[in-house]
Amino acid sequence: MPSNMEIRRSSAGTSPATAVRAAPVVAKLIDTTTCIGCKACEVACQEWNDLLGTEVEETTPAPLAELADFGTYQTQPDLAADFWNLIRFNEHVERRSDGTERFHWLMAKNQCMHCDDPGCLSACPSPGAIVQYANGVVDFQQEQCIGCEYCVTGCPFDIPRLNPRTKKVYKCTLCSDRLSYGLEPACIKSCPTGCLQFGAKDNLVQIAGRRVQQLKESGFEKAAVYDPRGVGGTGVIYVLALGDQPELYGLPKDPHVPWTVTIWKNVLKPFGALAMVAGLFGVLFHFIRYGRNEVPHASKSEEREV
Amino acid sequence: MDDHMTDTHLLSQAQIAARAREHEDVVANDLVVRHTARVRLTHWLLAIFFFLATLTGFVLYTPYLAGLAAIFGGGAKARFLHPWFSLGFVISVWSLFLAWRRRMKREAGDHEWRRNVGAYLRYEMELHEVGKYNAGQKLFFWSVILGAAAMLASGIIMWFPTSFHWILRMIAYWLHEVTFIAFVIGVIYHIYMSTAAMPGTLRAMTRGTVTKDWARWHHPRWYREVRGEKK
Repeated sequence: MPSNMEIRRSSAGTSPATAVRAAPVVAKLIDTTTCIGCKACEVACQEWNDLLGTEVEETTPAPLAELADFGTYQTQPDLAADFWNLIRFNEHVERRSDGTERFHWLMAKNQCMHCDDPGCLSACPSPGAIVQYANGVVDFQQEQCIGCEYCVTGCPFDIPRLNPRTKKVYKCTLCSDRLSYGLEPACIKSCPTGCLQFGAKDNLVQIAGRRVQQLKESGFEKAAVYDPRGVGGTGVIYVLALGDQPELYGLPKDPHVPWTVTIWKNVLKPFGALAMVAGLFGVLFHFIRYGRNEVPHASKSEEREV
Repeated sequence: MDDHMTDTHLLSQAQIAARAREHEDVVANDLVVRHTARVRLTHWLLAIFFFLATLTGFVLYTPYLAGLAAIFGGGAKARFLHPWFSLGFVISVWSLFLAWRRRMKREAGDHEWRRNVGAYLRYEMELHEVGKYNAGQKLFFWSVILGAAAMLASGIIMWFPTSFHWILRMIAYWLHEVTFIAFVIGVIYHIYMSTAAMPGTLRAMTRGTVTKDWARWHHPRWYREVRGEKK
């Protein structure tokens, strides 16, 4: 196993994760301002991961009639268990401070964000079903998945999808199989405009910062890098022209691992386990202190009465 | 029928067993029938489903007990079986609810019992007015009914999570968790009280009968009623 694929964190782990070697954290940079919506990355993802049309009808949430009437430049309404990479499309009219309007076609590639602090991994109850590699990639191990869908509730980006046939959850792997051989992800390789880049996250953050500066100078005052701190930063970062409104791109404004998940997992569960063990000790204590409530024999008690 | 058979008329063991299958709250020799066969069967069905649901539940509760999944053929199988075991549990609870809801209504002496629960646990309480079920047993019964309802409602949401809003899912996880913890602690005490702490009690749920001495000691007003005495 290459050192970048050592396991840094594992779901429902009871002992320390096994990674001992440091590896540079990798990331994807998505510059939405240079995306032309060609969907080459969608095709590459389907091709490389052999997802092409395998079970779309079964797992796509919208019925086909609804799809035909979809009326947009978006391939399908939502991600699916066999569709991990979707270019979201949105038409937006920006009202500017000087009273003028500016029309936008917003294209944003939507897939797993590979959070530094993954909500799916925190929520998962099955040991080793969700792992985070030393390079930061968050990967599902379907053999260990029990299909409870806790990860779906734990994910602040609404990414994982259950395959109803296998009863396992699937999402973008950041092409971890390709990464382990030193190749870049399939979507990156296929991008014709260079709006998708892959590399060490530190480098990409700098590139993104420079691009944002450029955008600000050319009239996009609100341009910003999207690398939300609420989840410790993400392994997929964006350059957004309308950076103050990530919702327009289908991205949550301030995502974080829900406190209802962390308190449930880190406080309620250990406290509950303690309470159950205390219950056992309570019974033991009662038995030692008070013993058995023996039924007095009738003959004896009658004798006493006499 | 011969429900009012007198103490002097002796029955064979087989006759006692036959009587305990059909009738409760009747005297048979030096025994009193406490639970009919139907109630006992329901109780043990409930118990079996409870333990199956609890074991598969512990698989998801903590990774330290995830190894329990091996009994059921792995985590995915445990996850698949859990809701079905739980449905069996809920149906058994419903059946026991139908059988017991009238006998579990509040009675005159219950308030007094609850006020002195500490004395009861120290075996120091005078029990003259305790009927077939004391206030603690009633509390356990209604807690189980309420708990099963909570488990069912939250369990259905957890079974089909994506059909429900995120907030409902989160409420369900918490409710399921807290109710589970309460159930495990409640059942620890239930088993302890009916076996180690109170000798002569378990047979009420196995053979269906208890000794007259037991009935007089733990449930004196019930014993008087069974013998046709004035309350």
